[in-house]
Amino acid sequence: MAARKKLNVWFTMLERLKRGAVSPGLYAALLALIVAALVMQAVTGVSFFTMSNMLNVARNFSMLGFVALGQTLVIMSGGLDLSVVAVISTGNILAASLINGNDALVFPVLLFTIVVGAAIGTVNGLLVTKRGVPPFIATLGVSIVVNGLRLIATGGIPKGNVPELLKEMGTGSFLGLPWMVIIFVIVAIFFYILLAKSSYGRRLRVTGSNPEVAVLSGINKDRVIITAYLICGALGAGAGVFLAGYTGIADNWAGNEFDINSIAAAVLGGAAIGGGSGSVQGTVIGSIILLLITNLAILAHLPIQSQMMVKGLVIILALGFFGRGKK
Amino acid sequence: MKKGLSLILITLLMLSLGAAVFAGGQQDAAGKDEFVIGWSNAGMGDSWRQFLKANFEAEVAANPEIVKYYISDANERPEKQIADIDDLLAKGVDGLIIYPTVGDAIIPAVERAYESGIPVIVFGGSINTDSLTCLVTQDLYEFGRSQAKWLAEELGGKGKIIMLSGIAGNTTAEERLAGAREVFDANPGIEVLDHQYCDWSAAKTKTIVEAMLNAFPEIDGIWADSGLMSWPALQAFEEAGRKLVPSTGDQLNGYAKYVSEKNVPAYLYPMSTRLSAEAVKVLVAAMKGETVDKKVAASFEGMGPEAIKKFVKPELSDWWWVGDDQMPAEFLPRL
Repeated sequence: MAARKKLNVWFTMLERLKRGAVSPGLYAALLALIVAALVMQAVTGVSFFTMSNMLNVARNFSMLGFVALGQTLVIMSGGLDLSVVAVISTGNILAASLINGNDALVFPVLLFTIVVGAAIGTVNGLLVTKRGVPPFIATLGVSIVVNGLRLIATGGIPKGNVPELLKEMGTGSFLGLPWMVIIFVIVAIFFYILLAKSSYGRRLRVTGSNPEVAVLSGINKDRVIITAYLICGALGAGAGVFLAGYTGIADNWAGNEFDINSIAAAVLGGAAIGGGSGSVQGTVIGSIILLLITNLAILAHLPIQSQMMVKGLVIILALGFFGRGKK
Repeated sequence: MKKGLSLILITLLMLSLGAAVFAGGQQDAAGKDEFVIGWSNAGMGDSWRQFLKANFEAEVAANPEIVKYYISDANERPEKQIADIDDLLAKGVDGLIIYPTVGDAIIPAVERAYESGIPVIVFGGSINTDSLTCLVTQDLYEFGRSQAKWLAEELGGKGKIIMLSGIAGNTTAEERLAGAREVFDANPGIEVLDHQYCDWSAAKTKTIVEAMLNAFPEIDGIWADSGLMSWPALQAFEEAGRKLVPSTGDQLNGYAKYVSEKNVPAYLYPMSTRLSAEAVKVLVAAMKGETVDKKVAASFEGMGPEAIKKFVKPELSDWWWVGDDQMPAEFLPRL
């Protein structure tokens, strides 16, 4: 009897987790990774669970997190955004060249850059909805155009300097917590409410899982999808600005690898390619897992070859087990 | 009698013709003192390429026998570069310089140019054909070796270092790494704590070095194959509250500015944009009929702390190339 009661408790917990749209396997994976890290620390003495390492991981996690949240929305809408690399790099260059070392300009330029990112996202969304271009092609095409425009505008040479205030945002802390993490938590809470509680979240889910039903139930399908791309562009551009603060360097290719990493984080977190499901919590955990793996690999001095294999396997597993879309 | 006279006349005629042809041939080979040259460039996508062009134009101006030059830009597309080369040949250039987009993709055009009889100089990349006058490259083993030698000496032959490379499998990164490893292997006092590829990305480098700083309580030096990696690496040291250590990189001005401002020893080995000037020099020699080697591997001077102080441009862009700007001001890129 007691055993049965215990089992029931487990079932309820599983049910709750399911309702949160996060697969219990994901928590298990995170737990397994932490146990592995603990074992590694005990055996080899690497300093994984140190404050400074945790803060470093957390800061990196925030930057991936911004992009992965945007990617989650797009994937939930049934799409995919490959233009994030171009958007992040453009945000990075805009920040350094427009702010040019002037602290007073940090927030206006941040705002402007986010608007530029949102505009690029809108173009993606319009191509996907109004012209029916497959998301993969539309966002790839847009990213080539954006990269080209940036290189023409800069002549390939990033100008300007990253101001102290932005560097402080990218590397500094407040009450022991990195600024980046604080900003990310606020953004993540906003998106949690958006997805889990707002009518937009509901419309996005319906649109992604079944566009016909969405149209029949009076949802403006195109508007929902365009909004998802718009948000993804805005978040990417913002991440580009913070990335400039993190490295202190204006780099024309700052966004490299954020496309595959953000897709992997979202999919690991339960966003299904093809649309419908996905959640903020899932994506957050997906991002953490991805960064923990990278961090552990570096701490363990794994050479690049094995790092690539590990990361590749994780992405394949994620897509194979969690990312299966509609049948 | 008549027949005999005709024979003499014909013989004379043929002799004079032969002499004329012979003399003319001579004049063609060595007598020309005005040249038109062409440069089929791969692309102009970054500041390094702009310096490459500036050094080309400065060198052309220093050679008065070059009366005219054409530069074409392939926008990194091999098929455009093939058309560009044919176009330059049609313009009748006396010599051709090629900076390959993808070496092996443009071989047919390179061979066509070479078979047309003009000197063809390829520089800045590799190409699998012998149908060219000279391949001018920078010795990248020497690049890594020179950096490693300086670092080993700076540390007095003893210390723990980390190594940061560009992209795994990329020839440039691998050759620099092999050169450096050669030196560190010969210095048993130097312990390589870890080597990682950071993809010539500042953000990735910083993340990786932050983890390394956690893993190793003592790091005495940084060997990095470029300034875009040693610069964020040093920033990670600074933010972790660790003492800044000697480092190596290339001639990126942002890195030079950082190390001179922090007054920390560093060594800049240039991935020199003066290579284009070297190519012009070889081409001029070949056009004048001098024999040139089939391969020229140029090496350049590295810059230690003193030279960095001399050449750094604190007021200019982070993406200026230190030491590559030794040319008349009118040729300098406007960054």
